[in-house]
Amino acid sequence: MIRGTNLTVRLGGRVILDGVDCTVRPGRVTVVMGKNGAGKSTLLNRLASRNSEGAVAGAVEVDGRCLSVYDPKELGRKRAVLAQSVHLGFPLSVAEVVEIGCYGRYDALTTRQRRERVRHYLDLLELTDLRDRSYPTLSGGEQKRVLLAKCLLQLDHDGTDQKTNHYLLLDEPTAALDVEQQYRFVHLATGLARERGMGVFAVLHDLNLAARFADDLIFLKGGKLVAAGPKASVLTKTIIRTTFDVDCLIQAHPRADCPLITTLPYEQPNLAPACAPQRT
Amino acid sequence: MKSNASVLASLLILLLALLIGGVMTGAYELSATELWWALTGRAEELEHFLVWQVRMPRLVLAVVVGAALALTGAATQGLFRNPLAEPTLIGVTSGAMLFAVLMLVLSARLLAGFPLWMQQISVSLAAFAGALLTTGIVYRLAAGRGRLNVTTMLLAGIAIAALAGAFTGLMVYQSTESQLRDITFWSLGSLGGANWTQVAIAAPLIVVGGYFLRRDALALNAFLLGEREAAQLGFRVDRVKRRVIVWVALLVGVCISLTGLIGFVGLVIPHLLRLWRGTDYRQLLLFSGLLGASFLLGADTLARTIVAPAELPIGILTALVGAPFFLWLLLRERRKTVFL
Repeated sequence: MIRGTNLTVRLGGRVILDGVDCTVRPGRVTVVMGKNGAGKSTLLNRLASRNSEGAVAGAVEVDGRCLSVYDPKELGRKRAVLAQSVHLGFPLSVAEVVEIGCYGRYDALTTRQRRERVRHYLDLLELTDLRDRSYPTLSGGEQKRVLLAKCLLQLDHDGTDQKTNHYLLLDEPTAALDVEQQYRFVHLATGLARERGMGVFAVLHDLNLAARFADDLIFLKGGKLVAAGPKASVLTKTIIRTTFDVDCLIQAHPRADCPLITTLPYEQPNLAPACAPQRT
Repeated sequence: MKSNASVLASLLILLLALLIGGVMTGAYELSATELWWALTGRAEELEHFLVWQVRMPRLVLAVVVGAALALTGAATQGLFRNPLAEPTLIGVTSGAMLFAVLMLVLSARLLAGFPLWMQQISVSLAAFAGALLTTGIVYRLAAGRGRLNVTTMLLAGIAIAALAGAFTGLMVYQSTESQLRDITFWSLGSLGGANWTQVAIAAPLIVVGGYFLRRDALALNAFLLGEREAAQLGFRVDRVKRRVIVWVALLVGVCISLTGLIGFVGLVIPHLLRLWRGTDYRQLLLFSGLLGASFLLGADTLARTIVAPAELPIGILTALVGAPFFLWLLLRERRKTVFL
């Protein structure tokens, strides 16, 4: 379990994160939501990194040990972070970028094993046809998949340390993806949590993706925690309104076992009086 | 695409061919038979001396310095994630230049009482000290609270270079006619004074430095994704940066102190290989070293033959060959695909 207590980050005189507590449990998908600038990515980076930018307070524990006492290599095998976007200093091929994922265990693997693992994850994310393409020439969505393959390879353990918990932290994984890829991506991530017991932590913007795939939700506003807990208890109209300043309808999903959320404009009667929101 | 092994083999063959060609050509041409005799110890005294005491140390020094310049160029580009990065950027060159000029101008007065050998290598020593000193200052400016800010380092490097340039200018302004000639010659680089002592100083250091830089190849690959990514993968980012900078400063400092300023090798060679073989640092460092060695060897052979019995400063040749070639590469690549 990754547990953050009283996480605070100040950057350039501004409080980005203000006393937030949160947990990421193995085998569960934790989704953090909030407006732009609410501190979502900062929270993610604070949970992931030994030394973050800015003035920092609070503590992060990973499986009972403080983040700062971890050997960086050990931590690198334990948790992977999918960044919002990565720009390469110089072009590398797709296969080369993915291979970077196994650098933490480079000496433990033979060249053949490395190649085989890279191929495995290229297949898993349907990147095999792109393996020799130059990473900067790919579309944003394709780049995301390459980076995810790299992250999964980073956590790949070949059954050697089954007992260790693994954590995958995703910073807006669906941002550049088309609708189908969004579902595929989130589905894959939840699969990793369910089947491999991975702890998944994701920043998402889509309420319905979160409602469908998350186990636990964290709502942030202005760097402060609005609410956190299991989906059923925190996915309420009041919390959504407080977090996003929009009204919404929460219905039972007609086809899936989860709520269906329709957001409605909030307090903007002058813009379109004819279809003013109905407060229910 | 050719395998890495065959690329390695062809680079080695190129280097060997240039070495043999380099021994044979010059103001006094040697035939293959004469070369064979000299190598096996059956030659006349003159040929033997020419091969073993004049040409060989010079060729070996060219190989070692060329390898070091290209290798450190590749490493610096990776560390700064910038295609224009050169060891120049961390202050090595400007510091070496300032101190060397200082020594050239002041040595007559400063070193009057010192032993002769000290006067002879004073410029080298001064250049080396200057290289390390400026890199140290740039490094201190960029490092704060246990972290090393690469952008700050770049800017600090530029500022220090400008400052050192101003002082160098001041010295040049003060210098006499003959000192000015020395300064110009030194700033264009030359392998003319090569001897086995210089090789013995440079070669071990460069081999060891190359080995240690090569050990950070994986980290340099990870750096391409950004420092944060590299740190999250488990690399101790600040230690890697420190190691790379220290080695680059040492190697370039030694090279400059022995041969003066030789431009363009560190910039062109890694780019050429990158366009040909990709950026993967596991190969790039080694290949850069080999191709850089060949490049400087070829350039030096040209430098001492085209205007024989005089010689051109090698820096002129490396820029004359390197710059247009580099531009051609850029244009060709821009048409073909995304360069950066």
